[in-house]
Amino acid sequence: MFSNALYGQFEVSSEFFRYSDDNIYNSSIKISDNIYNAALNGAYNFASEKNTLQLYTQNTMSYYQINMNTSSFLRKVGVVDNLQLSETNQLNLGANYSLKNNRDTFTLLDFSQISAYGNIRHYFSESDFLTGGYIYYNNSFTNFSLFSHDVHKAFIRFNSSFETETSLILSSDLSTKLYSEKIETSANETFQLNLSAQVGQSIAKNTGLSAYFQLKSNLSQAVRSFSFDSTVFYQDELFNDVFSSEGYEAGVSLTKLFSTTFGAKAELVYSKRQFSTLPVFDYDGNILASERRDSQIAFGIELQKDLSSTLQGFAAHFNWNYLYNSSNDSFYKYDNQLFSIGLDYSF
Amino acid sequence: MKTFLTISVLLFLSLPVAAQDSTAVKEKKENVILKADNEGNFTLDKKKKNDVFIDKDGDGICDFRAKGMSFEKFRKRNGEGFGNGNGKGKGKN
Repeated sequence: MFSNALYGQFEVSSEFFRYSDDNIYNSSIKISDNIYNAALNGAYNFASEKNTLQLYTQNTMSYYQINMNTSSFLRKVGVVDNLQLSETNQLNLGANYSLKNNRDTFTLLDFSQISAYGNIRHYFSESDFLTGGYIYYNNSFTNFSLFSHDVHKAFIRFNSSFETETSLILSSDLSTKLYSEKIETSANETFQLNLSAQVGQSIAKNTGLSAYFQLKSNLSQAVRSFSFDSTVFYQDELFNDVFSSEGYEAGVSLTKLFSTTFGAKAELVYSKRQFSTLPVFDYDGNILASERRDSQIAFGIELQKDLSSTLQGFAAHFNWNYLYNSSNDSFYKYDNQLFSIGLDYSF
Repeated sequence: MKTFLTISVLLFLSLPVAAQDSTAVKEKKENVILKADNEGNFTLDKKKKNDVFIDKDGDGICDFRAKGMSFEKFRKRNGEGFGNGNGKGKGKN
């Protein structure tokens, strides 16, 4: 796996962001806060002519200024190996372990994740390649073992770029979620299919237009809930379960690089989702509809400036995001505006 | 103790050696490029590489021009994943 010329190299990066969020829980009950996000990441590479093995760690702290009990700490360690099998084939193998710790009553939501992945990329030419692989996750919820599960995902993706300065990305993946605790009276597994296409087009020097469409379909469904004090809690509402909804998402973006150190991007995204196993209730607990249906429009702008000419390794970011979510469940009819400003550093 | 000290000294001495190895590899790679240059292919190869439009992330910008710029953070907070426990929990049994 390793050739005789082997050398090591350290990489360190960190970032500090301040978010001003007017709806931190994304619901009709708007609660605003300022969030301070700090990350410190480190990696060590063992590199040779054909192989790079990297060990890394990522540590992120999110501190909520007012709603302090929402603050959390996420730690991740991982290893990834990139092997050049031949001039046209490349193999990636990796594994991660993540741990999220919350505060106060939110410690109920603590979780750990083990993941492993492998993919192989084949180059047909310098600009056309096919990637196929497999990803495995084990999500373990310490206090909600009922929701703990394994995810197996197989994917295939084709990237191509043309002389017309057009790029095309086609991808598909099939995932299955298997609950760790089997229940005889309900489904214990679910299957989901994702299809997506993205087209990029250079419209002027250093200016790019991009559009994408993504379709998510649940081939079978299984959703779990638990009751406490006569109240039902659904998995999606606690953990944003990606398997609980299906639908589509479409977006367009415009990217402009004003110089080699300054760029801007604007993006508009529309999505429609239906939660076929999530009923709509009123505040008295009466069922209003058998399934929740959401549509969302989101807009965002990002400015990015590389500060290396004055501060080696530093880059500055500014973001503005706005989204409006419409739903047949009044609790999920909301809007959200988010400003963020931050610095990142790497060497 | 003596063994420990010996190993420590060897480890310490090996650090600059490792650094030299790294430099040696880089020099070797540069020589390969330089050799190609002497053969008259380097200029052509370099031109070819900059002229080829490759856009792996599909944003419509050639990756060679966008080198070092990344807008991945743009979608970071809109991505799906584990929530902050914002469940309404208003349904009744």
